[in-house]
Amino acid sequence: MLGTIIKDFKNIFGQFIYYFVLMVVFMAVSVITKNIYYYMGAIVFFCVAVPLSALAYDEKDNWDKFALASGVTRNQLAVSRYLLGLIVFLPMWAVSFILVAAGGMWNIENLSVLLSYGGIALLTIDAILPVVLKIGVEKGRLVYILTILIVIALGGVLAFLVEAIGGDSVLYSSVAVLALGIAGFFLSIKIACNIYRKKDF
Amino acid sequence: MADNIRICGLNKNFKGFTLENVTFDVPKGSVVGLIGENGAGKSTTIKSILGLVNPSGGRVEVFGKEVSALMAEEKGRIGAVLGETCLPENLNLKDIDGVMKHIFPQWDTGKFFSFADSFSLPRDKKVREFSRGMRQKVSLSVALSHGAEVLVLDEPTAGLDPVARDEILDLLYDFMQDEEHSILISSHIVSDLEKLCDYIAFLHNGRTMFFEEKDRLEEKYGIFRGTEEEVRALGRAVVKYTRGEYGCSALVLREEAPRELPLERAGIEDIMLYFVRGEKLC
Repeated sequence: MLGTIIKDFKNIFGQFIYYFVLMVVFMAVSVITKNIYYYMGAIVFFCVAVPLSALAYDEKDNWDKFALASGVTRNQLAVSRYLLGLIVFLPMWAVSFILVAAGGMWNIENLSVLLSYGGIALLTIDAILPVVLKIGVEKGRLVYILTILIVIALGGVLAFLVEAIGGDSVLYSSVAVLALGIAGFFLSIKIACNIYRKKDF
Repeated sequence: MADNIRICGLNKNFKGFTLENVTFDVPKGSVVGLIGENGAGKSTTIKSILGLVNPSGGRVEVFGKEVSALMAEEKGRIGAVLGETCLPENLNLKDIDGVMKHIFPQWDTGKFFSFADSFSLPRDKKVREFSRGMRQKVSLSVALSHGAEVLVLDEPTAGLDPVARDEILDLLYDFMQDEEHSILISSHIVSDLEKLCDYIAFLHNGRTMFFEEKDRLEEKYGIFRGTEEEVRALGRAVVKYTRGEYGCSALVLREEAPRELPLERAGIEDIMLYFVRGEKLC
């Protein structure tokens, strides 16, 4: 599985500068406007965009055939897609906490936003990856775009709730969203493994 | 002689195509050629051996174990070259080496670059910039660099010029110097198979038409040319026959034919063509 992830990083290495510049821009906008939503939205976008890019390369190269013929198991192949998503998500999410603390934005409302978006990012991975593994990257892109639109709408609703309700109840809701994202992550991996188990390559 | 690969009653149902009761072995120390027209089921058979498709029935064993039960180390003892390159085309050979050492437990970097150098493959160029022949050579270099004892090759010489094909055949001869090694190779270039193979497995419409020693095929079959009446007179010696502008020709079982009958040598390609395109005597 390590070989598959190393291959993914080598494959998408050329795109890292592009991703990095975009991330810095979103970070700067968040700090300048004192609005963490910009950066959090970018996290959701990137934690799915990177595995999708890697999957697109794999589809073009028929990598799955080679990997399976070489001793990588179907489960390992499925799980490696999620690991790549986590490898992108976790550091970016950790940076968001630093950004909020260092930017003087630390309050219960922003903490709720960080936790909620952590959950939303995971839920986005949970929803998109099994679909893409089932129907392929090209057709899956439509699902990806739709999901991102839903996430943007959810962001709006979240911002309204944080403003309107505020306090501990929003924080509890955020923890629930995060817990849902984590639980969904394991469920989604199970679904993806089932898809791979039945698939002919 | 023990078998490195055993396929027994393999079935696989797809929409519009069925692989039915495919049965043959790949003994240790031997090369088995898998022949058949496009869509005969060669690639599906190979994919079943490599665990890429889930068979609907039958048994596929490698090293005496069901394919689905093979561990990563055991899978590493199978070297595969699939029809397409199947390697990350965005990577160069150095990157591929960096990936493969984490895929195969027995990966040998020195061996990989030695093959690459012998094929004059540039180390810093991305695979996507290589020609088809060069890509096939990269695939073969990978297959031969992780301690494989069995090679499963799907059309490894397709689209290559005679010089490149000859280089690849030389490598396969070298691989077969070890008596524990085996090769299963599918190809439409029958001349390559005639040079290399000990056994021939012939698939037609998803079924095994025969699995025979290559030399035995030459002893078993001959080609008779004559009039339709002469062909009909041969009766059950005729396996299949074809009608042409100047008469008929038939694939004949030497043992069943009269001793004095003039028979031409039947090559693998001839036998395959008669089986696929020939008619049976009514």
